[in-house]
Amino acid sequence: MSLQLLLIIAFSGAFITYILGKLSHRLRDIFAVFISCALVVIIALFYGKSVEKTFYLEFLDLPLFLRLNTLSWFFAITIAVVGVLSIIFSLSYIKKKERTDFYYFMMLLVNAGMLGIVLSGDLVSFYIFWEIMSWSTFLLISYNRGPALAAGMKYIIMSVVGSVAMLIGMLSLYASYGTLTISELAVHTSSASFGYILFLLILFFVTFGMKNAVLPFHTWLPDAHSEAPSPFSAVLSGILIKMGTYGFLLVMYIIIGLKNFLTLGQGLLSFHHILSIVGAITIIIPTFIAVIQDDAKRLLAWSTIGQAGYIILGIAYGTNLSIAGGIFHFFNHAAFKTLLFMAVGAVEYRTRGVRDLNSLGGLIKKMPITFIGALIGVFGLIGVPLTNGFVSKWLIYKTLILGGSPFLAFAALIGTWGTIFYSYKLIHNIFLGQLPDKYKDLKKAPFSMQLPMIILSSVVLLFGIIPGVPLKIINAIGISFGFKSLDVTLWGIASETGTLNTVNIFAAITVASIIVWLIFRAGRKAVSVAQDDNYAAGAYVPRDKYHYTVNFYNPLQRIISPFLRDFVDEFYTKLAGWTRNLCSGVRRIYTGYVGDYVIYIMLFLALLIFIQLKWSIW
Amino acid sequence: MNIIGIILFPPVAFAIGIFFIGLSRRIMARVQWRYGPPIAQPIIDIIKLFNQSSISHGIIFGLGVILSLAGSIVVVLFLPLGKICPISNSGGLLVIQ
Repeated sequence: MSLQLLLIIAFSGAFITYILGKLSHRLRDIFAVFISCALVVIIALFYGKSVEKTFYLEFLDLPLFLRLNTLSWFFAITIAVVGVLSIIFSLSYIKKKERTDFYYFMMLLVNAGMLGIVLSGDLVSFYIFWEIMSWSTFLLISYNRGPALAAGMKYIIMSVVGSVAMLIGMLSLYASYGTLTISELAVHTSSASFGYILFLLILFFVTFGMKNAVLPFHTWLPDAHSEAPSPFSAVLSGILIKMGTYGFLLVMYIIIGLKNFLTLGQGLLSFHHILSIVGAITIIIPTFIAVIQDDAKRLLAWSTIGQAGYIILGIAYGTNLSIAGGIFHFFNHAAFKTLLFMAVGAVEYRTRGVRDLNSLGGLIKKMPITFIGALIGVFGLIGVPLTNGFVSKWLIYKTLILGGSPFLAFAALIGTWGTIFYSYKLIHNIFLGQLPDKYKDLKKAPFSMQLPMIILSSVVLLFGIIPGVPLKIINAIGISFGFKSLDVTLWGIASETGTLNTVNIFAAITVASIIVWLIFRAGRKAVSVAQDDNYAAGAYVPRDKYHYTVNFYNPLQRIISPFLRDFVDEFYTKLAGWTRNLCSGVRRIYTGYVGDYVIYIMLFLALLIFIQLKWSIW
Repeated sequence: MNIIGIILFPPVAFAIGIFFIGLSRRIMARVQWRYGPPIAQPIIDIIKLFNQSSISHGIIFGLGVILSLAGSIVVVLFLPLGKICPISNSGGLLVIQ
């Protein structure tokens, strides 16, 4: 099995699904699930192998390569797994909507594009797959029409700006070295000058920062995530924006190289330190914007930006622990954010598109599996011990404290506290509290929605208790970048001053819970009463709906909202307005009268003659 | 040594906590020119509360109580008491956060 065949299967699978959809919907669904499962199996078979430079095509005298190393394998398997889960989730989510063939086609095409990105061995094929991914993403974001069209437009404009930055970087690399193969570029850039590397890094920062929603370029993300269909929001948040992370890793640690990257500038003014600070700001501000959101998917979208900040902070800080933390957080975030978007999507599906947190409540009895999925996802998001989010956040905190960056560590911790705020709001407003009357006979989520949630919940818990399995692969990635090896065991990690042993924590929590449970059993048994049966010290208990987390953070919102104006978004909107005015100004010269055009021609000729008479340059 | 620590730590922490609550209530009372409850009052309260019947609003309500106490016990295991810290090598103080 070669890499070309893998990509051929991925792309042709997407086209065949579209054609099959014209024949029979059932056949198409089965084929889409089958093809995405097949991709997972094929990529899993590549485990541990590395394929160097498989030549497949020549384009403008540039050879195009595919290659596979540990880094790309790790990303590829995550893409494939999230891909198959989102397809399974889509089966019932998308069933009653229109243009379903197109939807499946685009979902598979996005997956294939992302696989192409991580497998490409030169920048030209990287760019081609990047564009395939970007444009099919645009079509999926605007799938729902209406406000989704504007969100998609915002996304594609920013994405094109990023692509242009990448194109400039590539052209400049080609002009300097005459090659765009990644392994050859890595050799050439080791002797490049300081200014040139900085120039390249800033260009690629625009590209990948756009995709990864780093702070000045984040404005497309909340709209896009909340307007896209839920299974695709899961893909978008789980893996698609992480293509930016992959790009950062590729440029910073493979093309430019660890040594060059870390010695770029001095002390606080070095590039990697500034990028870490950008990551820290990306953690704090979006997290607190998420706290004041009322739309469930919008809240998760802002939280995605915040969590992407952790990943940037981890990979930019540049020690072996932080790189491991950053890459592991990428994986974990793919698991629990996909899970959360699916849980919210299931609620949205059953309540026919209600995402407003303040009008939901008490769904735990109606959708128990969805609740457990959301609960585990939220635990992972916060980083409660025994979930995988804890391990990656522990790695990031630890490296920041060890590396002597108290402010960055403080930013990471504040981000976690903010995460607790909005996670509590999310879980309580949807699932706990009182059930509104109109949702009295809500059914639980269909099995095709529960299955991906169950799988992802077990992934979150499993890799929280034995994080050694992915950490071993991540450690291999770190070594291939030139970092010192970490001492990874099955249940944790040993760093210079502290060790992590998740199995011990697991045992401690289990034993403590059992003891406490026994203590409470020994006491008098609690009488189960209705939710509105409360002791109010003789005062009247209101009988109507009393859902105390509705507008729970209003006081906090009053305090922080003046500081949380989205200046960047306002600036972009103004920029768009200026451009529009300028263009409509320019358009005025096209009057439609031939006489006017003749005058323009005469004036231009007169100008040319004047220039020739005055300076005689021709 | 570690096993003894793990077994002894929660009761010791419980005793210290109870003692300080009793002491603080007593001191507070003295500041306000009252006699105050006996130092063992929190223990009496706990025994009394366990004998009373309580109400519950469902499983999550009950789980919340259990998990908060279990969480506190685990946190105690990670706190250093002087030089002794039973399972500090499993993650250190960051676990508490």
